Amino acid sequence: MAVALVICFDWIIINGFMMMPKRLNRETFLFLFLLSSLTIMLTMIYRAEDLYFNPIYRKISLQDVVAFHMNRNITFPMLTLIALNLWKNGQLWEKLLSCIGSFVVFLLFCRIDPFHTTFVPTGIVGLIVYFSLYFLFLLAALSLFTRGDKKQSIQQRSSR
Amino acid sequence: MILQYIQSSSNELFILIVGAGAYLLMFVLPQRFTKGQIVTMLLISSYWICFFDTTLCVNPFDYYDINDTPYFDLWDLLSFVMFGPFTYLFIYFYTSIEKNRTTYFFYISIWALIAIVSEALAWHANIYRYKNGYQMFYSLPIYLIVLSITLMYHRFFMRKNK
Repeated sequence: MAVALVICFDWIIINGFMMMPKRLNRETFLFLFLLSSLTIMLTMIYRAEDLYFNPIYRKISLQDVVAFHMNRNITFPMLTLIALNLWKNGQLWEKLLSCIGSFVVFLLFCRIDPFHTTFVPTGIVGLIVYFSLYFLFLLAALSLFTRGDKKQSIQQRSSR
Repeated sequence: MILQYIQSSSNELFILIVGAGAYLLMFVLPQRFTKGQIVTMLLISSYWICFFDTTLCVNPFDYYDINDTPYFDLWDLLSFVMFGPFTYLFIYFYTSIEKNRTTYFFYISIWALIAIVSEALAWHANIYRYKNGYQMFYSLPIYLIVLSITLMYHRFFMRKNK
C-alpha cells in the first residue's frame, strides 16, 4: 500500500515537474537534485538512526523500506526542485506564494505519513525550523552555483 | 609502535591518502570543464557513495559495516567527500580518448574492474567489513549500473551543452 501510494505520488510530482515551464537549466536542476538528496540522506542518518541500526527493525517489511527510500531520494528532492523553480519566478508575491505552498506540502506530507518520511514523528515547530534551514541552504547554494557559472561564461566570452 | 598505529588506523589512512591523491590528480590535470560541471561531478560521486552506504549497510539489508563502527561517524562522512573526484576522473579520461560505437562498453567494463580492485584494497584496509553473506563480487553489478548512469551525465548534460 505504502509503495503504491508513493509511486503514484512520485509519478504526479515528476510529471508536474516535466510540464512546468523551467526557469533554470538542466545542469542547475541536476546540481540541486544531488545536493538536496545528499542533504536529506545526511540528516536522515541522525533522524532515522533507529530504523537504520536498531536490531528491532531488522525484520521491517521491504515495502516500508522502499517507500521510505523513495521519499528520501525521489519525492523530497523533486518537490524541492518544483519549489525552487517556482521561487525563480521573479515577482515577490509569486515567490512568497510558492514558498508557503511548498512549506505546506512538506509539512503535510511529514505529518500525515511520518513513518515513511521522517521516521520519528516530529513536531510542527521542528519541521518548520528544519525546512527553513534546508531551503535557505539550497537557495544559498543555488545562488553560488549560478553566479559561478555566469562569471565563468562572461570570462570565456571576454577571452574570445 | 608506528606499525601498530598504521595497522589500527589503516582505514583512516586509506581514506586520507586515496582521497588526497584523487583531489591532487584532479587539480594537476589541465582543466577541461566549467566550475559548475566540476561541482556537479563531485556531487555525483558523493551522492552514489552516500546512497549505497545509507541503503545497503543499514536495516533490513545490513550487508556491510563501514570503518570502525556499525554506526555512521565522521570518517564515513569524510569518505563521501574524499572519494568525490572519481566521477571527475571517470568523465575526464572518457573525454580524452578516441571514441567509436563500442568505446563506452569497454570503458565502463575497465572502470568497473578498477572499482572492484579499489574495493578490494578498501576491504583490506578495513574500510568495509562484509556481513550477512555479502561478497565483493555482488558490488560488480552496482558499479556497472552506476558507471553507466554516470556516463549518461556526460552524454545528456555535457555534450548537449557544447
